[in-house]
Amino acid sequence: MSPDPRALIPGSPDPWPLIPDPCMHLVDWLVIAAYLVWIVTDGLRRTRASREVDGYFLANRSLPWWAVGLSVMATQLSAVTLVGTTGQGYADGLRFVQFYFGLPIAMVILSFTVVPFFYRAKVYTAYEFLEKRFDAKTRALASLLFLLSRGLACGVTISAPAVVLSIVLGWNLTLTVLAIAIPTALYTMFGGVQAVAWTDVKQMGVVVSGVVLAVIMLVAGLPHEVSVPEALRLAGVSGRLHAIDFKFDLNETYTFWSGLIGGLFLMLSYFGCDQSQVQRYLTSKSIDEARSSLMMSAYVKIPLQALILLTGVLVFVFYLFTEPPMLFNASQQARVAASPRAAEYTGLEREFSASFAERRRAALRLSETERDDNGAALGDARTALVASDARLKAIRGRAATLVREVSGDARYNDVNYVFPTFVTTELPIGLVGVIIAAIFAAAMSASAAEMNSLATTTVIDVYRRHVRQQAPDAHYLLVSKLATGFWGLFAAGAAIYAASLGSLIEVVNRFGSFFYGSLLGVFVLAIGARRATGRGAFWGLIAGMTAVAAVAFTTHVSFLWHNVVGVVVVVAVGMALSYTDVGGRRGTGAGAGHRT
Amino acid sequence: MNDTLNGRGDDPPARRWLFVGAVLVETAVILALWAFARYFGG
Repeated sequence: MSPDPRALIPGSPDPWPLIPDPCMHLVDWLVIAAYLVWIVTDGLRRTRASREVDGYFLANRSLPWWAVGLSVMATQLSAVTLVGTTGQGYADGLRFVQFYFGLPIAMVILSFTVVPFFYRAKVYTAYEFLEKRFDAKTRALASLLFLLSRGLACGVTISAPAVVLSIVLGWNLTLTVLAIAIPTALYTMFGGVQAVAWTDVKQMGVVVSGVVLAVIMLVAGLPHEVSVPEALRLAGVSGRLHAIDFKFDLNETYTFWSGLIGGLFLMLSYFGCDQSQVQRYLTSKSIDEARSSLMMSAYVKIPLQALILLTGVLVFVFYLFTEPPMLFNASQQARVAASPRAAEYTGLEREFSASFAERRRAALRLSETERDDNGAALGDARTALVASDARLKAIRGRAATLVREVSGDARYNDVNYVFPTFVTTELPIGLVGVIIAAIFAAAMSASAAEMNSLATTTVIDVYRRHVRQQAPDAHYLLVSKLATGFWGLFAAGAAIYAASLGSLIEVVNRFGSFFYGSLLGVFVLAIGARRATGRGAFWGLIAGMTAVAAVAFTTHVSFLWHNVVGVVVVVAVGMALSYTDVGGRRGTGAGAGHRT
Repeated sequence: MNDTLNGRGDDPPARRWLFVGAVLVETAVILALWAFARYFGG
């Protein structure tokens, strides 16, 4: 892909107005426009069913399990997952699938714990339950932490794909952010949770269709002399199919144990304590249907993630036979090409082309050797492919180092640009539009649920609890819509700001990891420890977050284990304080059994 | 804590097969991924 000359102005985050990009044909634009119109229209027509607060926030508990299940999955599968996971598959193979190994067990546990508790408590939010069980300050702290972390995370959900799309397609970044945020905020604001859930159902269809179509095109794009099993063998020899790592290493993120144990706690936290997910299953018709909705993820999530990773692996195989760009981020590529070190970069490109040709020959030779069943030559052919792949990777590494030195961005990594670059440069007209629409769908479905849950917590846990406790339903409905609109604007603003500050994304993700495990600990106390008091829960939460921060900043322990630390510290400190809190144990929690 | 808070009481019958099946399917998927990698030389 040739460098985008429009990116040659250094230091300017948004130099160009929106102009059509040669990668996008009119048909692709029409496909994306049709998708946006379809989704917004479908979301807006749900307004009729959201005329009171119960309908707006909980769909009057009327949604079938399969719709809720797809909404749960769509909320979790953001564009960051879609774009990042395929890139992960390209660079690192299937190992990332281990991250989800704890999910099915987490869903089983949640089905027997929080689902019946929250459903029977007739709460709108998970944090409302904390006041019923403990006290107002625990509820206030938990809801505040949720609003802060999820509010910023909603910005990241929009920002990350917007940055990638704006660079790959040459779109104006601000307009790309708004193209995602405005339609989402519109249908979420007017349609409430009904709009969110039913558009999620359709968006999951778009996302899965996009992934399946990409796989079909990748298989169809293999050279005639290479069959699908041979292609997979090439990926295997290159180390891209090594999915399971049984090594126990606390510093290693993607292993069987970190996924099963650390991932279990992360998934328990996310699906059990994060309002953006809790609200999904509170809309179910019954406890049984709520359980079924969660169990859909238990069955489908790992195979779906494996498919998305495999898409990235197949992109790697595709690029064994078609020369890829040396760097997939065209903006940074153009910046280096325009810098004083352009000659060095050009030299690397020549080396890269030569090395690619060598790797291509090695790949074809390996396939031929396997077809001929030539055992003697097989070992040599495999070694040659692995060695040539390593040489190519080293050249890419040197190019990336050059980018870091020229741009000053120490965190530069183009793995998120691999799949979008493949889509826009190798796929036929029309299909590009479908896949870009799928990326939009993933971003919109996740951010819609986030905006809706942020508004719910704002109205129920803050406004109705502390500002105006007695008002007609119509008043709260109006405030809910305004709150949704506010969070939509906030997310758009945070996304535009975050795009220019890569470190903010990292800060947001780190803050989330401090919060999740500790909040899970609070709910463990709430549901599992009769003797736990509000004082224990409140200070336990603060102790948990402090402990996780200490581990994060002073050790190299993988973030997946932080949730375990958070839960353990919160429960230990919370129980210790609760045992000394005689006055707290005599009470039954503020408003026990009373719906606020 | 009263029954509303403790979540106990008359829960609808949980279909055990749904939960056991999830664990079995996960185990099968993990084994399939491992076998897939072994077969194709990963």
